[in-house]
Amino acid sequence: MNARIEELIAQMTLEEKVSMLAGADAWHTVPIGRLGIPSMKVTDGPAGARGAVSSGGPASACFPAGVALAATWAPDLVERVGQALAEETRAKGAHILLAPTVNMHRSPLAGRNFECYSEDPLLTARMAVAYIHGLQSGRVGACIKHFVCNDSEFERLSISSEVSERALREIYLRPFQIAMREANPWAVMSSYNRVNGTYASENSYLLLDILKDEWGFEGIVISDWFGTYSPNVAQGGLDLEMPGPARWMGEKTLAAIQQGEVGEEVIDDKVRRLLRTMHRVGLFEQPELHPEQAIDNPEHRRLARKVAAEGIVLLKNSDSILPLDPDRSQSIAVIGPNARRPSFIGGGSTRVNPHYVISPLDAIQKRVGTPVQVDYALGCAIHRSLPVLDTSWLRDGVTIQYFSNQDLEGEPVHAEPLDRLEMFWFGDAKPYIELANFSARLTGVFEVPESGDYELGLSSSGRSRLFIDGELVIDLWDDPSSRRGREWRKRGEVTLTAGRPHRLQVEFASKPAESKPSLSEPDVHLYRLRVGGAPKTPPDSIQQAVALAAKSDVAIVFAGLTDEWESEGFDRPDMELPGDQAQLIEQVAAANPNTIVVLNAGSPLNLDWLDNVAALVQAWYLGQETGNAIADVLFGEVNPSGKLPTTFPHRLQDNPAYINYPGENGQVLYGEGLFIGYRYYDKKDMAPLFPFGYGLSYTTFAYRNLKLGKPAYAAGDTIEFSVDVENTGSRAGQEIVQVYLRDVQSRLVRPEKELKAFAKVALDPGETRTISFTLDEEALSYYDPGSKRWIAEAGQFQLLVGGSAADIRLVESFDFTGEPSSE
Amino acid sequence: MAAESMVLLKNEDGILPLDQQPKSLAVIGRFARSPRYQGEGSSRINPTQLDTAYAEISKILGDGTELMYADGYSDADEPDGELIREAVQMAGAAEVAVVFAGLPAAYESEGFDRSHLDMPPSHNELIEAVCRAQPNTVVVLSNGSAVTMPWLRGPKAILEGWVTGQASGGAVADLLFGLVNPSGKLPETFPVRLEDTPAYLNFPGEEDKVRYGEGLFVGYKYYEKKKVKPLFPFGFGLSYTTFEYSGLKLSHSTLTDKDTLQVALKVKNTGNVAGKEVVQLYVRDVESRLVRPEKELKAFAKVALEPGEEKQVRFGLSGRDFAYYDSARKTWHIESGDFEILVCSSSDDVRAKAVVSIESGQELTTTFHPLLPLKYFLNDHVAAPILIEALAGLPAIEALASDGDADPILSILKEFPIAKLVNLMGGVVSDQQLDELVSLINHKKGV
Repeated sequence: MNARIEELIAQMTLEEKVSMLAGADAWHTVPIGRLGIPSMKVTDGPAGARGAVSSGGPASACFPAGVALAATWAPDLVERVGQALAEETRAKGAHILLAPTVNMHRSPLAGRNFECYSEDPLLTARMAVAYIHGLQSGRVGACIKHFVCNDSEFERLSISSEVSERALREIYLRPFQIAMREANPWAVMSSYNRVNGTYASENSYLLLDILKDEWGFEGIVISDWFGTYSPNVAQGGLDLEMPGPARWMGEKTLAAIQQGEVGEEVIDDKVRRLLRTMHRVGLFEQPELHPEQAIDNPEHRRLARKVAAEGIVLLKNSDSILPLDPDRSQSIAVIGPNARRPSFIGGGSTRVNPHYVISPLDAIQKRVGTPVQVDYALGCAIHRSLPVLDTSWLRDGVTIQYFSNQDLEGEPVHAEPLDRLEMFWFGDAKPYIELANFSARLTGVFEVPESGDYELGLSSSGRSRLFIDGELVIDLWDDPSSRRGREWRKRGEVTLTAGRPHRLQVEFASKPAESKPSLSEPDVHLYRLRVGGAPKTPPDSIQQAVALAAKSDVAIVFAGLTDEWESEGFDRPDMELPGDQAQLIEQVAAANPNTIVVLNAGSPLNLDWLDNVAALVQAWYLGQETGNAIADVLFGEVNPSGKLPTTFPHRLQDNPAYINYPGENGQVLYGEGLFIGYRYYDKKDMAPLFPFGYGLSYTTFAYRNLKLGKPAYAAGDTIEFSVDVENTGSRAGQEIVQVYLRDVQSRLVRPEKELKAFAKVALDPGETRTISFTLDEEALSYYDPGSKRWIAEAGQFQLLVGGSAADIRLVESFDFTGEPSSE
Repeated sequence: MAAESMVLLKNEDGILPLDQQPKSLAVIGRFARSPRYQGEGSSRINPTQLDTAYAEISKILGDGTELMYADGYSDADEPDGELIREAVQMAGAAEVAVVFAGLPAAYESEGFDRSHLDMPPSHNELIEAVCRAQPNTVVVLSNGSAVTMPWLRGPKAILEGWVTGQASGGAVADLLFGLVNPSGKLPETFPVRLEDTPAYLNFPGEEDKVRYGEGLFVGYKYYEKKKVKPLFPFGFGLSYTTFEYSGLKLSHSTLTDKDTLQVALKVKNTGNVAGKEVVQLYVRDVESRLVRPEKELKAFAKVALEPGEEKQVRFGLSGRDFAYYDSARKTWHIESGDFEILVCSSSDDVRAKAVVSIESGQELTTTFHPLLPLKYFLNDHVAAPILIEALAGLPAIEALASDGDADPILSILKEFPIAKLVNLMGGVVSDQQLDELVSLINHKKGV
């Protein structure tokens, strides 16, 4: 293949080469028809393959978020998710999936924590390696991201992460490094931010010196979308600027080569990498672009459910209140906004339009036998903007008609069904309209489940208006109150009757007629229309939930965040539950001692009410099978085995990044250095609320016989050891056995202990298994910035084996006769 | 001098000052006779005369008192069981025991740092043992900086005697027997443990570098920010009398950055003996563009008061007392907004507070550039209207300016640099036009 690639490069004009260095549009590379070089398609994101159309496109499978995958501590399962995602990506006609995300959980407030795996680089790396293996075994390229130190969303397109060389190497780069070596991802995405002053997309130290030279990366570096900032990207190691058309790596790069500022061999290298990647994904064998399809694969359903259930972490279970017996006569109060409207994924590019999402309420109702009475109460609403109008209320869906003018005149040029009342028009999503000049009409008939007052909302970046039963309810078309005749969003109220069909009509036009931009004629390519609707929350909503809880045997409160509160693009202001949820939990718990709380959130929350509830289930964002997976655990179909991939602190102030987060004046200092996550709590000798690696089971486990192969090892040896784990309870279960290493004495500062290995072991009641581990010299090493290499220092080391970072059951020491300490 | 610097950290049941005529008093610990009175290194001198606490105590006590003495510990770190037994026996037999302990000279000096905050085990065990045998135990410490006190609950009183020079013995005796009323306050936080200290993660550094990772949050600023309770807070110190604060008055409710704020309050000695109070004034910036400590010490005064006497205490604060250093602009900056004036007896004992509103004439010289996030343009009263007018063709630009917090999409867009926002919207404005727009804003701002 190399010869073929070189041959192609030899035939390419300079212009053709440069044309390949930026996208053709939002998701495709530029083809060169003359030479038979096809177009390569990439797609978001880590939890599912979304396709080019960000809304209204063909539906996709939605797997659990990254943090939930990591909570399984099961690389074999994550590899299967990767395999499934390869099929999903192919179903969307794409060749590269923009995943996995391997940034670190540095602050609990970071918007993208849900999408990232962990606070620990090894756990992150093990997940990434498995995910990439799975994905690339299906000949779909992984694009591991975001390289690097994009660990919060605050000013992410301009901030500089100021990080020491050791922390960079031992924590933030480490997952990338291990993934390179063990899984060879075909693409890397540069991050939006700057690292020690230089933008990641033009950071030659990171992209050229470390990634390409030191680690030998042979794939392509793709910019994060719009994450290119100067002509330096060409020399800085970026290979593909996205989206297209080119901002920097087009005419500007061409001119730089022609003026001799950039050598042509720099461009050849990029083209070589692009062609190599195209070859890897099979594009030269199958160059045609396939249409996007929605394939709801039953295998993927089963896998999504299994992974989701294994990612759930049981944090508290007083008096073994869980599991609940689905066949015992009892009444269950299901409470909370997330029970009925499932919070299944965080916001941003991870979000897909799922085939379906099972709500916890539906799953519980389906699970229990007839003697069980299940009732629901909302408790409180937590939407930030009015939620998108529930499509299940629609009788026969909604139809959208497009017009090629701004006044809905004439015959529609196109009509299609819509399954969600939220539209983004961006890029070349709709070939039959010109984005700068179109209008659209949405029509449908809907019925509400309960009679009462409803709030409707419209937000749009063009003109829009909403009619119910022919009556204008919201007017964002010609609003005289606004200077330019338009507002961003508005709400209206209507009284709706259950069982009666109501006619919905929404009209949209892409450009306000009276706009008069002073700089240039606008050629805007991004439009949005969103139709919201929800029953007005009654003022006694919490009291209703409390009354229901009081007369029920068990109350299950579904609380947490949603994609409106936890999302790419912004960080949270604090660790609080939004809305009145904390109050709801307090009051329900006061009314019913058998209160179980299930949290959907990608990050730790303030759990001040923890002592008052009987059980706490951390359910992250679990994708399309959210409800089923939670019901599987609540009713004991699945014995919970997930463990926390991140520390849950008592309070925000305890978090290691607290002093320096989010940064100011364009910089954020990673002042805690190596001491992120449990490394910090260990070092500062602080007990967190729930430690890293923590999670309960419906059974118990005993650890015995930690045995080392030898008392001393030399450089180059494999360190072998084993431990016996027994299921000492009465149910089958899985334990995640964690191995930490402690360097007893070191020339440079080291964390008290670091995760070096783990194993998930399934045990029947009474069963004992011996689990064997091996570590190599690198596991003992630290990065020495002085000599710019990893060093395993001679001396004593301890192996600490246990069920969490704070639950070390067995310790053994060994000597390592490696490199003598050079002091 | 020495007596004024010593800090009374604990005084249960008013055990101090001691009765000058007790039947018996046990002085325990070699520091009573071989005092640790100065630091090592370049501050070490040969004193002209050297008091010992034991000798000074014996001078004060009358013949009616049986004064006992035991070494309690040797020079070794390890406890000496025999010496402790002897000390315990003596302490148990006396009415009161005064234990002299602390850090031996070998523990702290110029030229090296300590690796922990602990006193020698020989000292700690002695204190524990004596306190078990004698409830009326007073501990006098000699040390140059904070130590851990695992025995904190044992003694009824703790006097931090520092290393206070040749007259330290006399000073201790004066304080113990009430000839002088203690008035020192801690110039540094005493942490519960080394792990709680702000520099702990990065101290002492490696490979020729030490990173000041805690940034501004040194000392009490750290404990307050992280809400970590110290053993004894900055500015803390007890007296044999009590003080009442009242009548806090500010000369201005609003202030320009050129004005001086006069702060006045009354402090009254409400106890029975004369004493001195160190009144501390902290300023808290209620809201700030840059991160600031919870509060910062800006002024203090030491006031001597006879029993029942009340005095007016005055402070003057200038603009600089409200300023922070903006490292991006390389200048001190006074921000407009509310500031709290906190009058305290120690950093965690706020006695009175008042609010002053500052109307700063200082303009922030923000140099706008296309890669600055949109929110900075929208928050600036000069830049915002220019930008909104210029980008009027962009969807949502007015919405962003007016109500960006309600909608998650708007939260995302506000973090975008304007150059990137323009890209995202499809390149409405060329790079050159954007540069011109930004130049116009900078010109109007006078940058």
